[in-house]
Amino acid sequence: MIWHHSGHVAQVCTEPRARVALLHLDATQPVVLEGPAAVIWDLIDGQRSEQDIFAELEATFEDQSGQMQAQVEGFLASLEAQRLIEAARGASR
Amino acid sequence: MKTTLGAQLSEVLNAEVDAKEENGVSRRRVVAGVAWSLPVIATAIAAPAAAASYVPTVTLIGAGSAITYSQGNRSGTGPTKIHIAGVVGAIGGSVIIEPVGTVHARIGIQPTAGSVFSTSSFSGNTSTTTFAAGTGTGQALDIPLGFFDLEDAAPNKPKTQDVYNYVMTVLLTVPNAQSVKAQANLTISFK
Repeated sequence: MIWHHSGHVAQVCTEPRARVALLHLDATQPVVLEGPAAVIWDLIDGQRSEQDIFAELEATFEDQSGQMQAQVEGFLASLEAQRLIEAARGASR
Repeated sequence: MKTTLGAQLSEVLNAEVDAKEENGVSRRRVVAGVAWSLPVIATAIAAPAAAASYVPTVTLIGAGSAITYSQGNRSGTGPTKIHIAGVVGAIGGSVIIEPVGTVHARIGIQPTAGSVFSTSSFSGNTSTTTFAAGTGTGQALDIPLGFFDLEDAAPNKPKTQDVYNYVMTVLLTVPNAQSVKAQANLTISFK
């Protein structure tokens, strides 16, 4: 599965990119991504697959819980549910 | 596929890496050393403390101004509007007009088109009129005032040259369940 940012989302971020604030044009309240969530947001580029993203996270972070993949999948599902990301055209689940 | 994240990852991590590289620690080891935590979508919520910092105040404007009553040949003096500042969302309150001394008339608030006032109710010669209005946080609100009177019938009908005095009290209910108030004198004259 390949994801890209929704075209209806405005974003601002701190410099360095520790926090990203997102506002969907239909929403009334922004959301904030920090830490791993902000990193995942940066990795969603319409090119990388979920597996690519997971692989890069695995190479970057030390995961003691063993839950990283499930947590990333859940996070991506949350982003999709809030219409912050969309499946890239032609991408299969 | 384990690729170096480089520019794709947060510059927070890169800054940390750069700092550590000066000490001879490899980029990979430091980046990989960042502890994983559950990624979440946090909702940015306006701090309620900001709203709570507003303290509504109420003032009666134009006290002692010449006023007219909505019926008959009556005039008098009194305030012309209620001014409320520091409003936090919807606000409400009541206007109580109570006679001073003996009177043969009672005064209520005259509702007009678009008025925020309810119909005045009377207990003896004292009236109570509630209102409900609101504006955005921290803004001010002006409520124009109009009056009417109800008079006793003969033989207690008000006489020519009679002047009756009243105290008008505005009670404003504020979010913390306390109330703030303002008072002004009100008169009615019979010609």
